[in-house]
Amino acid sequence: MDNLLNASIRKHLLGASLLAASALALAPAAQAQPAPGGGTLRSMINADLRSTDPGVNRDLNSDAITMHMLEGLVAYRENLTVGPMLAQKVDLSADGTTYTFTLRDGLTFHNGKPLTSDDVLFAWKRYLDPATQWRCLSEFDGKGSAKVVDMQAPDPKTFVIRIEKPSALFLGQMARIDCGGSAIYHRDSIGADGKWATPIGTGPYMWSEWRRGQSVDLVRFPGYKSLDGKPDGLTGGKAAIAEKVRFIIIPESASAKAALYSGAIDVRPDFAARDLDEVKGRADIRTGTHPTMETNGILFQVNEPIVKDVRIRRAISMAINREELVDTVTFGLTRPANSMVPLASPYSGPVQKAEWKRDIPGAKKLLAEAGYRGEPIKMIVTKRFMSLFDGAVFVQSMAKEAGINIELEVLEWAAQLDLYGKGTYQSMFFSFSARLDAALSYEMIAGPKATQTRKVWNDPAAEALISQAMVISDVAKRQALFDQLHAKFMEELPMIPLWNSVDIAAWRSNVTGYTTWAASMPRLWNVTIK
Amino acid sequence: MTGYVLRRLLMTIPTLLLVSLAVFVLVRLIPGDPVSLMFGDGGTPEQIARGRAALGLDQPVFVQFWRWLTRIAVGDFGNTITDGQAVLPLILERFQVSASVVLVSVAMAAVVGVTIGIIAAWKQDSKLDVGIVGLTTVILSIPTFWLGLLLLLLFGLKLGWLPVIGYVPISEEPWKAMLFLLLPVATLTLHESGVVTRMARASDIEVLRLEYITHARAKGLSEARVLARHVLPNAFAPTWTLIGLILGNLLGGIAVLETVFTLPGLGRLLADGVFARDYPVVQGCLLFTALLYVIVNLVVDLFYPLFDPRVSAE
Amino acid sequence: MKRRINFLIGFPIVAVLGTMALTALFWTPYSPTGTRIRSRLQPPNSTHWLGTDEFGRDVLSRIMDGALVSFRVALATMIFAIIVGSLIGVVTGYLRGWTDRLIMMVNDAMLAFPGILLALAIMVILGPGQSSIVIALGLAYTPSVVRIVRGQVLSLREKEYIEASRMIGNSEVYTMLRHILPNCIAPIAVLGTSMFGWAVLSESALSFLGLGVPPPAATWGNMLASARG
Repeated sequence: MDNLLNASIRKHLLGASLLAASALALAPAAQAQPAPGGGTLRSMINADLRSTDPGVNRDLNSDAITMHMLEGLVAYRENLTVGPMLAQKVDLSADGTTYTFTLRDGLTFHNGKPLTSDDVLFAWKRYLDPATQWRCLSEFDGKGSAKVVDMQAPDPKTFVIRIEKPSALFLGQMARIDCGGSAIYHRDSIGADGKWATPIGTGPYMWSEWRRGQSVDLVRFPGYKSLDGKPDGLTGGKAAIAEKVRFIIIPESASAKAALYSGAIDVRPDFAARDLDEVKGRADIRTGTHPTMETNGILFQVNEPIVKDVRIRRAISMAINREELVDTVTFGLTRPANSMVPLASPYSGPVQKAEWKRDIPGAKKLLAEAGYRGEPIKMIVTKRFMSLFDGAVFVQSMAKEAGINIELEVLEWAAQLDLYGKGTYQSMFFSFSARLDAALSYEMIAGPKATQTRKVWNDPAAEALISQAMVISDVAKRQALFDQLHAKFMEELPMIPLWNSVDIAAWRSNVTGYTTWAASMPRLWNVTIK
Repeated sequence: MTGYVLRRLLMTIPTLLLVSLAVFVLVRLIPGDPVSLMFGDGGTPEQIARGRAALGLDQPVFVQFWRWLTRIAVGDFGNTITDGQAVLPLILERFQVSASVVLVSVAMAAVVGVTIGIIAAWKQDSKLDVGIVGLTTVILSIPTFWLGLLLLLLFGLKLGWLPVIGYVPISEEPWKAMLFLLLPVATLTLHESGVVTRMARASDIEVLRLEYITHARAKGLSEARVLARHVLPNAFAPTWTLIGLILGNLLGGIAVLETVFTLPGLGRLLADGVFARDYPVVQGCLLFTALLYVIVNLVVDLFYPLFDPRVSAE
Repeated sequence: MKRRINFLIGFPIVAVLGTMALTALFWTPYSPTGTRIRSRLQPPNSTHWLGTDEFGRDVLSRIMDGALVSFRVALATMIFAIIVGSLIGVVTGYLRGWTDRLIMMVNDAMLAFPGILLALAIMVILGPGQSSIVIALGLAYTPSVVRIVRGQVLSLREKEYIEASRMIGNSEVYTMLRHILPNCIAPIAVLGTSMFGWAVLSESALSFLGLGVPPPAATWGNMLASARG
């Protein structure tokens, strides 16, 4: 008990850095916005916005737009650790279950109203209401990594959340971009009918105009109160420099390229690797690349005929010349990733990075042992993501050299996703969106197939290890767990990880300040257009 | 006449009912589901079930169909799954874009195609005729998306004369709107004039061989007069039918061109709807285009006697 | 005389393409599906006359083989639509009455669908594959065949020799097959030839939308769609 009183507040996993940042924020910081660079910055999205309701009715395009307007208590930094955003500091109780968020001073919403803990409580209550259909509810209602048991707003600057059991991932889950960063919005964002209406947040840009099927416009929020310091992921110093940002909807990639070259758009996030060589010679185009944590690879349904034999799965893996495949598919931008733990993760150590060598005679031997005689193995792939499709064609051709007969089945993305969800396929080329912690990367594929058909790896022992990794905060202990998991994974091979995607963007030379990063989400604040 | 039109309109009701049933079944047979698409690689079974229930997708299909049909009957096409807006105004808004492109292009293609067709027929087997037939063959062999891209790269990028992307409604800024619509209209006009030229040429040749043309020429009428007064009116009926068919098909379906030129038209709405499994949008669009097709056909039939005196509308 | 120009323009094209496709049955310069990573995206040169694609496959070989696949798909589509369409057309035109009304209602409903979207939906339902494309495009084209054949039959069945065939005691089926069907061949042939062209183009439109012939096989459609970059 004494102990607890002495160290009444213990720094958790991220606590130390949170406090350091909060010290900075406490300094008198009535910083003026840099003089606006004026003008309109035009970026693009490849499909229309779904909605601005954070983490509810969303896709990658919606996330990218929403994150310019809305901010959460915490947010991802450039290196994908979690830092404070609207919170000045986050304190964790000694037993690891009570998080106390102290809000920054002087924050206002786009409608001019001040941000108080009451607003935070309002937004969080809406998130945790099943009727909202928040995408990440299961991570907070006890089905996933944590269960919120109590929320309080004891004073206007303080917000307290209590969870049932300690979780190493709680703040990370809050910051997830696909969860809308659990952004805090003013209650007037909700219409009189109880439905989401217009986003009223605290971010550097405000909602302006949505021309459906054409473009989404945001305008500079003059009252934006930035954190001090350098730009840092979704947190750090943010300045709305361009007076207006416009996201133009261009579904066809060839048209998008023409639009960039002709100056009809200024920035093209999600640029194709195969076009990089072409723009090298152009003085008017700049490009940037950054590795991400998106994992691409081949999934197997281990109950299906032929691929249920681990020797066949191993033979396929041995038939692939990883270096050559990844070098070609990503145009030399990245190296093979041989583990579920992405290369960019701090937990990608020597064990995870160990190479897998191509071994055709070995593959043939395994195939002979398994009694494989050229039966077709169906592999599903989509053309939605060109590098996946390219990869599948190469894998098919490489496997053929070992005598493996892979039949590619090209499906439209929604149809492939349907099969993925039902688990009714033999094998598929798939891309997992970034999970920003190694434990979550494993959790994404591991679980009981009986109740969750989308899961690929059904091994209770592995699941136990993952659960441990979700609670433990000690880095060395976690690394040991991930090494163990990797060994088990290699032995059972329910999936062949191949590479992590690369964030590629191109912009016109009159644009400065645009950067690519590991979370692969376009950020148009701090970007100047001349 | 009015009675005939009414009867024809009444006759379309069973066709449209059949279309709506087919549309509904077809759309539900397509694998994939709007809710699991929304959750992507995440999404627990409970979440997906909750999402489906909220959209009424957990009901038996015939219940869903009946619900949809009874609402359609009172003009309510429902709301989109992706962003919740009303489907019917959305369709009408997008239709304006497609219709302006299609109507202008088909009208121009009709004028160009009929003119060139009659010249080619008149000068049959000359170098000019060979050139025209060769050119139409080439144009018809190029898929429209490719033709569109080539024009886009040439005029938008290489020469920089025309904007590459974008759209403003004609009602807002007519001149700017023309700039944006020029390339898609040109692409479609080029392609469709190829089709019309061939048909016009073929039927003009048939008529030119007939005796009364020889007779007219023998009377000493000028060639221009023969072509304008005797050949054109008598050879126009098949071309008119073809134009009607083209119109009926295009009004609902220039998805590919709308994608290349980033126009917010009906075809793209439908294609995006299919990819997003946005059932109300897909059903609404298909029903709407079917209705258009029926109306265009009716109009074509009503005009038919003007071009072919042997046929009466009734 | 009338067909001379079409022949002049058409014959050389058909001859070149036909020879190419037929040669591809036995021989192509390289394997049309073999990927060679080290020689990808090459411009035309002495070893690869038309260069290589993004998988290092020889473009000339793929054009030759693609011609074969495209022609096969188009031909099968055409045959499918013509056989199914003519049968339905002849039967419905000949029998008339309620059968005719019902079938034509369904037919009109199918015609009222945008063809490429009908094909798209069928493709998504059937899953990828050459046979799915044939069925999808074939079903999309069948209604036009039904219409044209039925129209022809309606005018034919009033002709004297049809009446005569029935009078001398020939069965309805025999009359249909022996006298009506052969007289429908001219319009069917005209429609069929243009359908062949449409089918090649439609396959490319399906490829554009990501649903063409599955890889690694080449078709002109999927080569064009993947080259647009």
